[in-house]
Amino acid sequence: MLLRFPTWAVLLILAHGCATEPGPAHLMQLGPHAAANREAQTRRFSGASEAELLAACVGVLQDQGFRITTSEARLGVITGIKSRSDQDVLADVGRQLALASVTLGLHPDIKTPPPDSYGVVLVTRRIGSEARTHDVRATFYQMLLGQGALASPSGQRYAAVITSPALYQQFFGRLDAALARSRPIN
Amino acid sequence: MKRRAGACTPALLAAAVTVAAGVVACATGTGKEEMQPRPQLSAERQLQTRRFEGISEEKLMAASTGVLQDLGFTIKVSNVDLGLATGIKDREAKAPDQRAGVIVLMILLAATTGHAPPASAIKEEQTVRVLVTTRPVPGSINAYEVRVTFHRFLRQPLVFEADSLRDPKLYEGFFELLSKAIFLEGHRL
Amino acid sequence: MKTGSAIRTLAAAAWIASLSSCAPMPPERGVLTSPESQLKLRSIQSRAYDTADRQFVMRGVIATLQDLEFMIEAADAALGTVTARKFLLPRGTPLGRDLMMTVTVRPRGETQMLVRLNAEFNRKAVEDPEVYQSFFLTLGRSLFLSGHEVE
Repeated sequence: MLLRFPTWAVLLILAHGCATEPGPAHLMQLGPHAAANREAQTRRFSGASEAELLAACVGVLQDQGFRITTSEARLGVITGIKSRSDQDVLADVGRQLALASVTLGLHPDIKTPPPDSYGVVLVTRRIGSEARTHDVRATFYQMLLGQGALASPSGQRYAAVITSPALYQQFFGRLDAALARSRPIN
Repeated sequence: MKRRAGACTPALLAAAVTVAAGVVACATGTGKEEMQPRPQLSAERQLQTRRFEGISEEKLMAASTGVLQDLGFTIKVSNVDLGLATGIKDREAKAPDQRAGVIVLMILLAATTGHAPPASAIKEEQTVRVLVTTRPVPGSINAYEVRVTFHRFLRQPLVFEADSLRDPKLYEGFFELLSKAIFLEGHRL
Repeated sequence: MKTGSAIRTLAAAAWIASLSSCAPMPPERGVLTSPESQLKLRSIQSRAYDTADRQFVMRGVIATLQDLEFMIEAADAALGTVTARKFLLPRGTPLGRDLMMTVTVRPRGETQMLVRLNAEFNRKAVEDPEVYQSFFLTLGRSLFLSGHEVE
């Protein structure tokens, strides 16, 4: 015997599928939380040259298991990727299945497949004429690159910014500690 | 007693995920083997390396990347300070043993998904990656060693084979082209 | 009938219990490693070499990667980083072996260079000290220098 879906649930599912995709113009606009995100993702550091700061950033990213995918020291840019293990991804799939079974597939958290990687873009910027004062902005991403055991046959990919303030607080705490370690002991 | 269809499905799916996790867990090593040099390293390094004298490293790197481009490679990384360049090239595989690999792939696909795309839809694509490095010869001025290594990835719709290329003719051919390029460069009017 | 109803109750309880694991992991737990494992890993991932010539060491790293049949994916002389990958899928095997790493070379005091590499094998951080020892052994041969362990 088939499960009986209430009519309103069927219409809701169909309506979601029929919604048209917005054009790309909206991708060039600042979101409502852009200023708040920028603040959370940025810290000012004094007393270190840009080279020392970048080296410390690379060290902290290495500590977290990131590999550096691009870097341009002259511009103060570093990007990195860290894979999520297949076990962690499968655990997410299990969670989504449990959610799906309870919510008849309507929970928003199950619409997106779980990420298989984390990404980071890190930029340093000198402040004024101070050679030893810089802003560091780090932006972390959850990404689906379509690799690993759960590579999607459809080739679906995404990168979503992680906005958790706790993540950035902890990251900058570790960067502070790395800079302190690298300073010569007087 | 009526059975609600689908009541068992979440449990079955959960079981499938658990089994998949187990399979994935069993499939891992630690990377120890991959971090060991091959026993044939010394002989292979000789095959992959040539010494050039009387030319600056910058010109040597320029000539090397020029040869790669002539061979149809796209240069991905180029760093003169560190003496390295990498390139990538896609081409179709046509050799009989590679076709055999595609047929096995189709059989595997049919077994796991219940259907297989027609043979004409599967492209036997191959990606070749190359790494060229230059290194000063200790104790010499304007003498450098050029070393080149090639790697192959046979793919579509899944990566079926990935390995280093070891045919001596490949390396002899590259260095022949490089020597000609350096000669032409040195004699340019 | 009572058994059937007990089983249904247990199944419902299991589903309810599973809801508590439905909450996604906080991102900081996935992105950041614990400080304790960080410290332990840093030690096995690093060696100091008795030379102040950074470029010499970086070229030695690149030569080592080439010896080990890695492909270089990125390199930055100013920052002292090299990222490389080795992907093998031998004929007849269903699962590939994918080893990715970033190596950094930084000055350590006035007379040494610190080489540190963090590796990922089949999408998991490598924590086996022997993997790193193998790399540093091959690097030492390339540099004609022995690497010193660092705290």
